[in-house]
Amino acid sequence: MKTRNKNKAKTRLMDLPIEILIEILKRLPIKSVCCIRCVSKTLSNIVYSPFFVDLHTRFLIPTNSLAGAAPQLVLRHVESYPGSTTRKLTALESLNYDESEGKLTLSEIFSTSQREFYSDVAFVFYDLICFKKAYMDGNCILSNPLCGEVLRVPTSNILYTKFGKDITFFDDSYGMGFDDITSTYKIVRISRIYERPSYSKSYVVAQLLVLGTSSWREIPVHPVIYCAIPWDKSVCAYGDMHWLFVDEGEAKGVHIVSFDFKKEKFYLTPNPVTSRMPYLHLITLGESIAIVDTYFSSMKVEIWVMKNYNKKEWKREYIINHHMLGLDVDFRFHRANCGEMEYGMYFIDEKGENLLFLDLRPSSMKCVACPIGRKKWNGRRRILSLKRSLISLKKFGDLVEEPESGGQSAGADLGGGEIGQLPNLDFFFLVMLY
Amino acid sequence: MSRVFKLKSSDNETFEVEEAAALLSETIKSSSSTEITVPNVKAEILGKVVEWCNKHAESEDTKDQLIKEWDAEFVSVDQHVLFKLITAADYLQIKELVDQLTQRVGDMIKAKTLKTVEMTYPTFNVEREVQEELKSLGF
Repeated sequence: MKTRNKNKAKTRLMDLPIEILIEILKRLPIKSVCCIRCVSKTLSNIVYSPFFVDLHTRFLIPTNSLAGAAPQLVLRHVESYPGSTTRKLTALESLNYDESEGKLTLSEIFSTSQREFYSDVAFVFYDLICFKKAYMDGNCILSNPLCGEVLRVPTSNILYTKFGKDITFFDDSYGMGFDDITSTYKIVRISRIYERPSYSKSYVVAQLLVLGTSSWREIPVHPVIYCAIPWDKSVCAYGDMHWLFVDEGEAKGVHIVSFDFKKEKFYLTPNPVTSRMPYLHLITLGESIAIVDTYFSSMKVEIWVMKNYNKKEWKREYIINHHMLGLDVDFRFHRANCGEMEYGMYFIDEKGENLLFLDLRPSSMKCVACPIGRKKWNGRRRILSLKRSLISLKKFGDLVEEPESGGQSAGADLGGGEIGQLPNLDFFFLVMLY
Repeated sequence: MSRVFKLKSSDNETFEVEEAAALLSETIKSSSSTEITVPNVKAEILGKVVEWCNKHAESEDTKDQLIKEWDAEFVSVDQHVLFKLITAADYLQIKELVDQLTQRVGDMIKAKTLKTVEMTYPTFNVEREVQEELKSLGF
């Protein structure tokens, strides 16, 4: 045995001590990790272990490293049946753009024409989407649509305990982050409530939940926050949550309110831009946060990138004049939504019928317009940009199980409406109805 | 007055190392003797490790651009040498060197896995060629 080892010319990676192997694997981007786990049983055991997932996440999230994992774009349609205010068609499709062929492919993740209870997106955290109910009651669910996992988020009693039962939710927003010191994921919630019957005063309350536990606790709210914050002006980066927020008070302007999940505190991040809220977007771009200023008055788009996260220093990295893009269509940037995609950004127009892909690589900077197709009925289309992660919702609690009944759908007693074609993720959307 | 440490390779070659360079190794730091034998590590490899330590003892500031370039050159070696260097650096517990070397291996794996594989969900299939490529790395 010993002589054979001596004669071996090559040293194999698998001969290295396991701690070293883990040191190497933890630095790999998700895509590579997924490759590795298919190669051998030993590697699969290492990579699937909760210990490794924790280690990898702890390395990945605080450094905000994308490291080769392109965001997965997902298109969400919510369209109303003509003449009906309640019947809607909801669909979630994955959107893939083939650069070499210039082709856009959409593949359905699920669709339903039942009324969706958890219809509003609360936030997007890596590849997790949190949905909340349209009529707010503090219930939300966390889902991983790409692998069909759904988790009910524990409800909170704090508001009722504090104010009594006679309250109305005015708005409710959520954010999720990662504390790499305790290796825990947390959800922060900001609610604005009114006391019935007077409705004279509103209160803003912030709460925090550590995922995996079942109790929320109240935390101090930053004085500048007077109402809940829209999810689509938010971004998660470096494990913290950042929101664009309009201050109607004395210091008028747009702030960036951030939440540090380690210290469990809100703080303000400097905003370098003076444009008004509707024209600003907060996104991640590569390994940094960026502000996209679509301007109303000028024919240009500016992108500011946060070059130094610790010092919160911004730099205006791109100035894109509309005429430079060589577009045939008249794309109204100031009415578009945008987000990150591989090598750059996408813009989706107001109607949700046209997509613009902006490749920001210096060597191949270009812009490609792509129609998605007209909507059948009135409604909205939104794109969500998901970043792959190794997070499994299983570690936070029992996932919502697929209902036992095969024939009778759980949604039947809602009355009317067929359930659309159910792909393998039917249990996922059935949960959406409750 | 700085001590001189003697590092002995598995094929009986001795390297003399100044205190500042030697103490980059946790193993040497916690050793009671100034003569340390490094088992399973040949002279060629031990020599390179000593070279790295000497370079890093000279300059305190590891953020220096020149050092970074030198480090990048240092780790651009054949994978067999790379793995042997890792084993040596691990035994000697030189954290910075282990980090640099493992990062390099990670980069090599990344390069081999990123281009050829399509990520499809929820199941994931690895192309045969990627498996072959990874095998060449010693998986």
